Amino acid sequence: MASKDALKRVLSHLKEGKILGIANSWNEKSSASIWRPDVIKSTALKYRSYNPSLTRDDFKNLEPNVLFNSKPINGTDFELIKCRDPKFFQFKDQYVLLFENHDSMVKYMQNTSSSRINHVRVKFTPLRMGDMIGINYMNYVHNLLAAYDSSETYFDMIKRKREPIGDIDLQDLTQIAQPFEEKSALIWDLPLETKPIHVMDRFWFYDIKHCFKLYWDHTTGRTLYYVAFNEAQDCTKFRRNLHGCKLDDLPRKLLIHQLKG
Amino acid sequence: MHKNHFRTVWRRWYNTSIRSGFFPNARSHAGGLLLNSRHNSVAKTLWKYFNAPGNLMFVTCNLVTFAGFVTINSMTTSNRERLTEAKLLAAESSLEVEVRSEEQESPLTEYTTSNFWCPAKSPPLATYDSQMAKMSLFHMLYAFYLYRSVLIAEEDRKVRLPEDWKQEVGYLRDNNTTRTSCTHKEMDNFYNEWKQEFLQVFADLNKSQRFNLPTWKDYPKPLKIICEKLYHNDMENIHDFADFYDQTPSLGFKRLLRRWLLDYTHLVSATPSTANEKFYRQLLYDSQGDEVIFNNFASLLLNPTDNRRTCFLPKQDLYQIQSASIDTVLLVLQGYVHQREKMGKNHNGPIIRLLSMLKKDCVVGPGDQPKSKCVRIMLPTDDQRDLLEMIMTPQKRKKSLALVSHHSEAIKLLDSISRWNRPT
Repeated sequence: MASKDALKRVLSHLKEGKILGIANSWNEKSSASIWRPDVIKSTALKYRSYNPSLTRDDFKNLEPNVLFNSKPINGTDFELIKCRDPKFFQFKDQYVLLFENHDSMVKYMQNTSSSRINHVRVKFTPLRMGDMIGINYMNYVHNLLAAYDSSETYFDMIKRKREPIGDIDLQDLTQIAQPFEEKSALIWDLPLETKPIHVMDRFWFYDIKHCFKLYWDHTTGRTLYYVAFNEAQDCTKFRRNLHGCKLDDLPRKLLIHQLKG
Repeated sequence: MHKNHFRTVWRRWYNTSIRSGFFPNARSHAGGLLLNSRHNSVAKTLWKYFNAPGNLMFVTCNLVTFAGFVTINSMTTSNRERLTEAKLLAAESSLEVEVRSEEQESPLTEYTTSNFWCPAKSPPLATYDSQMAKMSLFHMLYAFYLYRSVLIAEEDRKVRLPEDWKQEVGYLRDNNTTRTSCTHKEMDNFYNEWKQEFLQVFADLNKSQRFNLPTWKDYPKPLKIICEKLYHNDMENIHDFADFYDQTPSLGFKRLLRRWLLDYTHLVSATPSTANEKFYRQLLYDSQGDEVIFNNFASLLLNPTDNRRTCFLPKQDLYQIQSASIDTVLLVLQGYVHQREKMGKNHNGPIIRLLSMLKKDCVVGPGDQPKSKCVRIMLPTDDQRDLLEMIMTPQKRKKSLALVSHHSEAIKLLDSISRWNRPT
């Protein structure tokens, strides 16, 4: 029955995703040489992508042991930040993966060295200490909180100039931002002449707290609305029901982004 | 007295008498602007009127006041216009500033070719099914090769293997096992175990999109070749799979591939129009020593409800009834005969069905030449049975049977079957 034991060993080995060329379990080369002093303690990874709809699962699935395993398993834990423009909350082609510590970050980076997203090999770069991403994210969180409060606070906030603070704890900021992101949405292409009161009146079915115009352009006729909801559920429903809808009396399709995720 | 006094004052100031109406009878006095006798009195009256100092002063005063009004009015108007203009300009310029600042801070990102980044090489497009077929094929073959390397100890002495592969095998090997071969039984065991363990993985089509063949530079040579063949294969339909099967050098791999095909036919039969009967015959021929798989493949022919046979057996154009060439049917029959004679396994049921098919459902296939190759056996489902009965006239049946009788292979097989129960 030696062959049966061997078979079991081989299959369970493969179940862990240990396939040569996908994940090398044996020769984890010491990569200390590539760590420059400013990233030696970094706990975050940058990932550049034009795809705005990647989720945490997409990054979790990169680890090789997930692919050939039918059950969901716990890999390295991390938070995902979608980098957004602080003023208009638009996606800025970058993701940040926040890890608990430097070691788990290094482990994740090694595990995923030959993984791909959309058939393109992923390339992560460690986030440096004073990276603009941190400052931008802080501004974004401040502005988001202000926008959720009211339009006046928001416009006051963006006029104010903030001094960059030396130490930014991204982990804390994500915790702060999360509940507000869940309850916030952006609408593109409502007609120019629409007033906030019309929007609230029109979409009375959803529990809208308030909304206001973030951006408008008379030449192209494009507008961007920020909408704050009282409940995260309504926000999700709103997006699910109306994203891509062409309502009868509106000139264009509505495009709705949720800030969450 | 009073009246007289008033008259005097009136006349002195206004130079008209209020004696009897304002325009008395016409009196022609020369010396006015209006010489016309008709207007004489009017001219005179006007002259008189203007001649009086009080009237003149009054009119002059009026004129001066009026001119003053006009001047002031026009002055204020022009002033206001100027102010409005200035204000408009200011507003316009302020608006321009606003527009410009908006343009700078538009939420819409404009990409230019210089800052647009894209991957150097984009992979070929693949369907979910083909991708999944490749994924599971790779996984099966890799797992099998690894398993075999673990079992067979002597291999690393003979051939130079990549270091990583040796490490991988060394880790998994138990020192007690020293074998030199991997039997058919172990291969079948392997396949069944593998299928059971990874069935769920290869049911999730999303996973297929995340899969890419790993770099195979550290693999032993046979596996390398397989990976390369698999990478360059489209795996879109049964023809692609047939190519891959043909290119596979090892008989052991072929044995696994046959098993895989039976379980995952749906992944390579996305387009039903591409049936590959020749490949079906090859599979039947190759699996003749392998009882279980041969019976499985043969059952495709016998069972009309099996969907898998669409990728092996073509449909007759006119009636949409599937049919098989007489060679295919005879190959199945031969397989069963072989099993009875060599392995002592009785398959009387299928053999009787095959014989009745030969007897009843033969048609002469398209083409006029009287060759046995043109004989096809119709394989109707139960619903199509009535339709077939309508088409098959006794003459047609006779004609096709006549053709079958010329088929030497068929006669030989029937001969051997008829000899079975005869006492020797």
